[in-house]
Amino acid sequence: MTREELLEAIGRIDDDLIQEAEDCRLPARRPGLTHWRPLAGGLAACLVLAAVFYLPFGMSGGGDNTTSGAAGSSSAAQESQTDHSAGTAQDGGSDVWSGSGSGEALPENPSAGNESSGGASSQEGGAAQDVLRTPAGEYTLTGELASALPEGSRQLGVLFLEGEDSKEGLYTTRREYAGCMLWEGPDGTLYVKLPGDGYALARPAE
Amino acid sequence: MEDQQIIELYWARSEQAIRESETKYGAFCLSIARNILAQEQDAEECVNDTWLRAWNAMPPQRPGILSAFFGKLTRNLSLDRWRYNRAAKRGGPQVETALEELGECIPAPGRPEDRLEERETAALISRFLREQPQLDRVLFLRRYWYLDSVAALAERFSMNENTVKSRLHRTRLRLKEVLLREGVAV
Repeated sequence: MTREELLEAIGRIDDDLIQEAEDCRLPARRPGLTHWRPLAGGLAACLVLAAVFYLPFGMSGGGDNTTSGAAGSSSAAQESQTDHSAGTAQDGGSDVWSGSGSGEALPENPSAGNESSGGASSQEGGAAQDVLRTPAGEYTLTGELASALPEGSRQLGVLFLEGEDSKEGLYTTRREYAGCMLWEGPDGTLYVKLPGDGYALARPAE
Repeated sequence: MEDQQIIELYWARSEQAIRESETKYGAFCLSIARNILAQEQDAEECVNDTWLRAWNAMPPQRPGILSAFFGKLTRNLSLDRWRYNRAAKRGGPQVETALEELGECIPAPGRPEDRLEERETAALISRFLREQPQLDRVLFLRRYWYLDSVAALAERFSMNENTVKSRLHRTRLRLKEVLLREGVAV
């Protein structure tokens, strides 16, 4: 087989793979959002260290107070550290693709169940639901899937991972959906084009 | 207009089918042709030829995924034009580089009877790609099906170019192993 024959053979691969490669895109990094987070993380770490070292030795009062202060600050430090590491992990993956191993793949059926790689909202306790935000309001992902768009649907645009810089955009709290195309059905239901086949449904939040 | 309606227009031999195809998929097909051909005029002609080919193909065909159907037609037409241009030394640069890179996947010569048909090779590659992590699969397709440049991929996926290159390299090596194992040879 020659290189050109291989290129021709690639030209005949399955249509759904071609479509997936067309649909799948991540928004380019927006400058300004990526730089402050590591700085904020560093600052938080400094504050935690300062609290750990300052409170036991710098506080006046009896030994009991000191001990409880140290314990309190230590537990606070632990919490802060937990928050910080969570933030760092999220920042480190600020592009979904940058992970290593096979964990970076978007799920074939992301709406099924609460996978550990769920978006920001799923990390905020089990009860939190994944939502989409549009200029028209907030929508909740129902977990339902549709194989095709209903007639009369219109394209709204590409979803971004929930950001802080604009209320005009289309946002999702679900990391896997960042970069996916969002559609609106004639009845107001939103449809997220999944990387494989199908659409995830979202309805207006009550 | 829905894809199904466009297909029905082709089946009804309505010329509106071509106008609707152009409206909905013209930009998509043009981006594929532009990646392959250096001359804008060539790219536009290939896209126009795409609708003609589609007109001749439907009926009897009824494509499952219309975008992929048009995309394949454009890609084939553009590669044909690219070959013609290459003979006249007017080829586009992305195809040459993609071909060079794909050379890594070609196993050593084997017996002629080991040679797989192009269609079988395509099926093999499809199966191989389905087993790859999604990022690697999409990068591979964008590079060797859509013939996007490495720089365009880096921008599209917010990655740096070296990461794109090394991921593509690793996927090519894995593909080579599969092609060897399955007996794809010259």
